[in-house]
Amino acid sequence: MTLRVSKNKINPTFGLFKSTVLKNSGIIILLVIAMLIFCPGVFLASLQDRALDPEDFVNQTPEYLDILFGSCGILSVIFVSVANYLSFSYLYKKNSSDVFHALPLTRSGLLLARAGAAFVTVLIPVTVGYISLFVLTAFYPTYVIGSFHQIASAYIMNIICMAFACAFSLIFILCAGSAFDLVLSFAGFNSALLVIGMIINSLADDYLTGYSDIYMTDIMRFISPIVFCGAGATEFAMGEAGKVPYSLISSAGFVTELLAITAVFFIASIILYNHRKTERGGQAYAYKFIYIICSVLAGICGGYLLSRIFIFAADAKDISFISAITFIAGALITSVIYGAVTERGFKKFKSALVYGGFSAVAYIIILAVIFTGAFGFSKRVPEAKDIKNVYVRFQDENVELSAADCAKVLNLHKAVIDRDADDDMEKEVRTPHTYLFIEYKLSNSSSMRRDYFVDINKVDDEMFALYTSSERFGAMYRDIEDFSDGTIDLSVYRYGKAEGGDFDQNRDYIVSAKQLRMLVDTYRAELQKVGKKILTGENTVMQITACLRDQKTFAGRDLDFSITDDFTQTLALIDTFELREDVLGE
Amino acid sequence: MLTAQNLTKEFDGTLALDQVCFEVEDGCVYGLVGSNGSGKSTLLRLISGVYCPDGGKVGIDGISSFNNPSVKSQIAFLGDTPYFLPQSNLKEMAQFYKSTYKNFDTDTYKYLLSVFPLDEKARLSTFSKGMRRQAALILMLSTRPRYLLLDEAFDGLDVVMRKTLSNIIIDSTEKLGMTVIIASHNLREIEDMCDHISLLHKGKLIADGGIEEVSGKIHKIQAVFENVPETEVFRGLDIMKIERNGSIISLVARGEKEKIVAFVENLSPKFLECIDVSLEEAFIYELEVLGYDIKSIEE
Repeated sequence: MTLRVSKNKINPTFGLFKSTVLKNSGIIILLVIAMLIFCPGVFLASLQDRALDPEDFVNQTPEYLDILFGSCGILSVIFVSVANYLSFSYLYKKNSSDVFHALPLTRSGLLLARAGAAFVTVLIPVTVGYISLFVLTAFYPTYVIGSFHQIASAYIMNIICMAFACAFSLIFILCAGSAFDLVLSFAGFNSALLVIGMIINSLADDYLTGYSDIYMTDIMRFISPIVFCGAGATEFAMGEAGKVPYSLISSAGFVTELLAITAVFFIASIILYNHRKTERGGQAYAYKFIYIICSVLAGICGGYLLSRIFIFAADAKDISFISAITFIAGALITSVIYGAVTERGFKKFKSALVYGGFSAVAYIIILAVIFTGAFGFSKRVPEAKDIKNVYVRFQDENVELSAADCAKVLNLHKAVIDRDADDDMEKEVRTPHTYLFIEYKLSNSSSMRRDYFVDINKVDDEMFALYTSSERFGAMYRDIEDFSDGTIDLSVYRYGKAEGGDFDQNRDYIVSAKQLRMLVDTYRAELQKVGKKILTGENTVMQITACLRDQKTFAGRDLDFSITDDFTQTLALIDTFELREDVLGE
Repeated sequence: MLTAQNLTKEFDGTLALDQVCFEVEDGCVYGLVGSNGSGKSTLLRLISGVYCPDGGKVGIDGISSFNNPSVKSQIAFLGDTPYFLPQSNLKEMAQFYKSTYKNFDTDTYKYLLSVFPLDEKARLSTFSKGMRRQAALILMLSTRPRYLLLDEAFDGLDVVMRKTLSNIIIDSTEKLGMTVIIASHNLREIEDMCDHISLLHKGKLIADGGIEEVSGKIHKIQAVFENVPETEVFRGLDIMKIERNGSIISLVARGEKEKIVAFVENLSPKFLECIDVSLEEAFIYELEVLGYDIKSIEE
C-alpha cells in the first residue's frame, strides 16, 4: 500500500454541517417545491378574486401575509422539531452513537453542526416562501399582501420561533434515550402543562378572590413555553394587546423574552449534551430528571381527573375527604402507569409511587397558594399613582376612567376586599349580587384585572358613589362630544312585565348627540331620586344602549343604562325620539 | 504513546472497567482479548472518546481523548456493528468522513476500494454483513489514523478478506507506524499478528505483555509416579490447575520452566513431561483461575 498524508483544509464542525445539509438536500428540494406551490402558486391563482381598491388597502389586514405567517409559522416550527429529531436520532442507537461521538469534534461542535443543519433544512423553504411574497408585493402592490416591512418582520419572527422550537425540542431529544420515550416525554410534558394550566385556572376561578379567567392565557404562557411562543407570535401578527401588527418594535418585549428563553434552552442543551452519557443510549432516558418531571405532571393530571370523576359521582365538594383520597389514588396510579411504560415493566414501582406522592404534594402546594391568596393577589389594589386608566364593568355598565378619576373605583375595590364582599357565584345567594370587573392599565404597561361576584349590600355606598359619580358621567359626556358620526343608534330593550304582556320588546331609535346628552342629563337627575335600589337591578323595566361606535371600524363604546319605573321623565323622553324600527322579540 | 491510568467506567452501579492501567507503544498491534462482557468494547470506546471515563485517564501522549478533536482526529474506531448514514452508499460515506477528518486520504480510499472489491455507488443497506464491515474498514483506514481501534475486526469476513485485512494492518503498522488495537473474544484470530496481548476479565486487566511473555509464564507438566504424592505437596508452586488421574498428575503452574521442572523432579516421578501451552490455553487457564466457565469462551 503506497500511502501519503494529505491534510484536508476543513473545519470538522462546518464539514459535518455541510455534509448533513447536503444529505438533506432531497427533502429541502421537496419542501421548496411545496412552498412554491403554496406561495406564490396558490396566492397567484386567487389574486384576481382578491383585487382591492388601493384606497381601501390601508384599512385591510395583510391577508396573504396572515396566511403565510400562520401556516408557515406553525409548520416550520413542527418541521424544525422533526428535523432536529432526525438529526439527533443517532443518539438512540449504540452503533450510530459510536460513529458520531468518535468524530473529531467536541460535543458542542457536534450539536451545533447537526442542529444547524436541521434548522437550515427548514429555513431554506421558509425563506423561499417569504421571498415569493416580497416579489408578489412588488408586482401587485394594491393587493392585500402585506408591506415589505411587515413581510420582513414576519420572516424574522418566523425564524425566531423556529430557533425557539429547535432549542426547546433539543432539551427533550438530549434527555430521551429512545424515540418512543422522546415522543412520550415531549407530548406528555407539554399536554400535561396545558391541563395543569386549566386546573389552576379552574381552582383559582372558584377559590381565589378577584381572579379573572382572563388570566388563563397568562397562566398558560407562564407555565408552557409552547403557549408562550404561540400566543406571543399570534399577538405579533394580529396586533392584539395594543400591538401594531407585524411590528418587531411594537413586540420588542416579546421578541426579547423569546430570544432570551431560546438562548437559555440552547445553553442548557449544550450543557446537557456535554454531560450526556452516550452509553445510556437505549435506556428510556439519558437524564432521569425529565422522567421525574413528566411523572409528577402526569400524576397531577391523573389525580385531578380521578378526583373530578368522584366529586361528580358522589356530589362531593372540591375540597373534601373524597376528593383528597381520590386525588392521591389517581396520582399514584398515573405515576405507576407512567413508570411502567417508561421502565417497560414494574421494576421501579417504589420510585413511581414516590413520584405519585410528589404529585399530591405539588397539588397541595397549588391549593395552598390559591387558598392563601396567591402571594397577595387577592388583596392587591394598585396605588393611584401607578394607574394610567381603569375600566370597570358592573350592572351592564361599562365605565372607562382616566387616572385622575379613578379614586371611586379604588374605594369600591378596597371595600370589596376589606368587607369580603366577593362570593362564590355557584353558591346560592339570598342578597342581591352583581358581577364586577375591574381592569387597571398600569403605568408600567401591564394590566391588573379583577373579577368579583359582589354582595351589593356590603358595598352599596361605594358602588352607588361610583354609579352616580361625576367621573362616570363626565366620561359619558366626553364620549358623546367626541362622537362625530352624526346620528346615534339608541337601542331600547323593554322587559315583558313592564308592558304587561308576555313578550320583551326591542326598539331602535335614531338620536342626535344633543338628544343623547339630554337623555343622560335626565337619567342622571332621576338617579339620585331612585337611590341605591338601582344597583340591585330589581324592577328594571328597560335597558338602554347608545352605540357610539364607528360604523366601519366599530371602534368606540356603548353607553348602557338600566331604567326602572321610577325614571318617569327618562321614559317619557325616550318616547319623543324618532323610532327607527320596531322589532318584536321574545 | 497511548496510555490508560486507573481507567474506571461504571454502568448503573456495575463496574465495566476497574482501575485499568496499560500502555500501547506506537506502531504495534495490540490485542485485547477477554470473555464476553469483560469490558473490551468499553475500553475501545473510552480510548476513542465516545465515553467519558468515570475515573482515571486515557489518551494519547498524555492528552485525554474525550471531547478533544485534536486527539480524536488521530483515532479511527470501528465498532462491532458498523453504522452508515441512512440510504447512503460508500461514496457518500467517504464524502462524510472527508468532511470531518482532516487526514482523510482519497488515494488511500481508492487503493482500498481496489483491494476490497465493493461497488461504491450501491446502497450500503444492500450489503452483506461482511461487505458492510469491509466498507467500514475502507472508510476507517482512509482517515489515516495514528490509532486504529477495531472491535471484533474479523467478524463476518471470509477467509480471503481476513487475510487481506491482516496484511493491510501489518503493512500499515510497518510503513506508516500506525498502531492497531484489536478487541476480540477469539484469540486464535488475532494472535498471529499481535505484538502485545492483554486479557480482560470482568473489567480488570489480568494479563498483559508480549505474546511469548504471556504464554511463556505458564507451563503444563504431566508426571507419572509410582507413589503418587498428595496434591498438597505441590503447594510450593504457583499452581493454576492440578488433576490426579491414577498415577498421573497433570498440573498447570506459573513461573520459570526450570524451577517448576526441578520442583517436580525432586518428587522422583517415573516419567515427566513439560508441555508448552499456546496463548489461547494460557488465557483459558488464567480465566479458570478466576472461575470463568471455559465453555463460554470456546463457544
